[in-house]
Amino acid sequence: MYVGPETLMPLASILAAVTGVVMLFWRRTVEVVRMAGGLLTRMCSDLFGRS
Amino acid sequence: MWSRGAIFASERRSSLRICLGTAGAIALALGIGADLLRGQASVSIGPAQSALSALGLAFLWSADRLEPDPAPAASLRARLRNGGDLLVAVVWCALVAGLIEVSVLAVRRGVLDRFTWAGYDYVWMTPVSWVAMLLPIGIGLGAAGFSLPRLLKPWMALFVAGSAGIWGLLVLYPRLHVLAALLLAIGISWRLADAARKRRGAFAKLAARSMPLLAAVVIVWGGIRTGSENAPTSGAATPAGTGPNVLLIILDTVRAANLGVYGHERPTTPRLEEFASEGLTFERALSPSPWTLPAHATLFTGRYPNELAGGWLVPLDGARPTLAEAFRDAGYETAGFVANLFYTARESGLARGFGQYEDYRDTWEQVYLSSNLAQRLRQIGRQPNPRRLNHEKPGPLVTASFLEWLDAAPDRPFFAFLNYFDAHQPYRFTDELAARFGGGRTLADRYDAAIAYLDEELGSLFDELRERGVLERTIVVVTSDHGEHLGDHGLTGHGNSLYMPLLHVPLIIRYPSRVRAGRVPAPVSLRDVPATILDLAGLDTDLGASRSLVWMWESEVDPEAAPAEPLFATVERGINTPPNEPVALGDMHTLVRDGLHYIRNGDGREELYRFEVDPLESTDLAGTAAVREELAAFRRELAAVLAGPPR
Repeated sequence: MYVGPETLMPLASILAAVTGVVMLFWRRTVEVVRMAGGLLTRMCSDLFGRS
Repeated sequence: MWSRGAIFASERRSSLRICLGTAGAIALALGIGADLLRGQASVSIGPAQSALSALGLAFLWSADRLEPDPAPAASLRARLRNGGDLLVAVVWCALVAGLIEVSVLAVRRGVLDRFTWAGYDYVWMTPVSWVAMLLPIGIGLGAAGFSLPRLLKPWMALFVAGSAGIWGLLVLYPRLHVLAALLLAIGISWRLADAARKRRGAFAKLAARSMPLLAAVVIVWGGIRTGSENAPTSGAATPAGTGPNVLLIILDTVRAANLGVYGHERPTTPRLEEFASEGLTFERALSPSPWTLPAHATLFTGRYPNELAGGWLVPLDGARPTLAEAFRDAGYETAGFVANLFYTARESGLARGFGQYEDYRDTWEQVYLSSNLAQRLRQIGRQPNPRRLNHEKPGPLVTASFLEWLDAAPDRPFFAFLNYFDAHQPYRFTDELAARFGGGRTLADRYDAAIAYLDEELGSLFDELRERGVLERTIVVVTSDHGEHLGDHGLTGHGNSLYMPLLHVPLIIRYPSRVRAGRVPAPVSLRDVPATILDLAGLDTDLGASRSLVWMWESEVDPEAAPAEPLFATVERGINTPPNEPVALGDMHTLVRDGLHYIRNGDGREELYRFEVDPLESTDLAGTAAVREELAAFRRELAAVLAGPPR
């Protein structure tokens, strides 16, 4: 995959914007990540527990 | 005991209060700083700013009313302290941001050896600019903090000023979109402000205690750098020289074709024509480069750009001796006064050998423009420019600085270099000149008006020197570093091709006791100007391959009949080059010999023009069989030039 100066600006900007939003809503983000992690763990344990 | 519903209501009220308080603080800050956001150096409170400020205050007042657990009214002392803490927090953020920016510039220049487009005065100017820009916000927040001490806390000032500071620093990285940088800045400063909020009072103490140290760093560091910059390094230690004075005048971006003295149909240069009537005019002087730094570097070192380090992002190194060094070592007073702050300022490497070198202005506008925050705000809505904007320097200022220096200079011969920037975009001229040249409607009108403006300035300078009795004892050389495209070949600006409008520049030498009045039709390169100046001044310093042109008017040999080596010019791909420009394909080279102009493009494509019969270079002969031998000869000659002395 080619990554040149033309693609670097959008990539860096998207990364910066996402990081900014995550930092702004840090607690909510942590909560969502925790919820997602818990959900995933439950799904995995359900899935592997059955088999 | 509070019920579950009451607790939720209290939490919602608390959240709403924080939101209203933060929005109020931002609106108030924006209201007060609206002029700064529009890129104005001065602050005035207009209707829009007042409305925004009032909205901010209304938000703050509403938030204050939502206090869940009203506390007793704060004492006057507590109010003052809170307001002061808010103000200190903002100033602290500004100083920290300024010092970080200076450090980034220092690393870029000192470690990476890259252009910063910033002078040494930036060491103190940048933090001062940051403080000046954020101070109105700090005063507004401080006043609000005094009025609403329970609501506005220093951590909020950290959030507002920190967002501005971090954004101003993030946009130093050009690959980040300004809005993405703003989101990241808000995110980072929100986290910092949150941390400060949790450690009550700790941040205010840190700011108050460290601020004197930060201010001292700015003052002491600035003092040291400014002092070292202005330290005299002239030839005072050597015996006084005995030769004539030398005045090298470079009219930035002036192409020969638009000067009356070179046959332009409009009367752009009456004063220069008067001057040229007493000197020698080279009808076809060619610059070795279509942009400033390499052309000046060649004029100073006598070497073609391909033999020198230096480019769009890299200054000229110290490997080759310069004209100014030669004169300094010969006991001359040396001084440079430059208006092109992009590529002739001290950091360009061109200042080597000059005892005095004046580039950036010491003005409030320059101080304001010294921070990246101000640079970005000023450039909102404009084409992004990686180079910093600086307070422009009109021609009269260059002349005045030179004459002032001349008044105070010791009684010994001088070598002075003046760079005038008025004919560079956006072109400087008066309304009267605009009216004289087509009302300034077209690009060519404005360019001609700017050249006429320069001509008036040169006329004033020559009058003043004549009145002082200096002119007759001075070798005066008037030339340009490169020309300008005005729509020819579908191009505008410069640095983007190697066609004649960019290479053909004026060259006039006046020194009546040694140089006869007249014209030289044979093509010459600016590379030979330094050797010619040294020859006329009686110095035998060797500057590379630069060869004196004095033989052209002193010997019996006809310059047009004499065998001539091809004249070389080159340009490397620039910064953000638009794809329609020839140089977008890569580095270009050109040779001029026997009325032929050979161009090798970056993709290897060749062009050949007979410029004497085809001055617009509209007929490319490279594809015709009749010039096969000439092309082969040019290829060999170009290979020999490019294989010349390494950088």
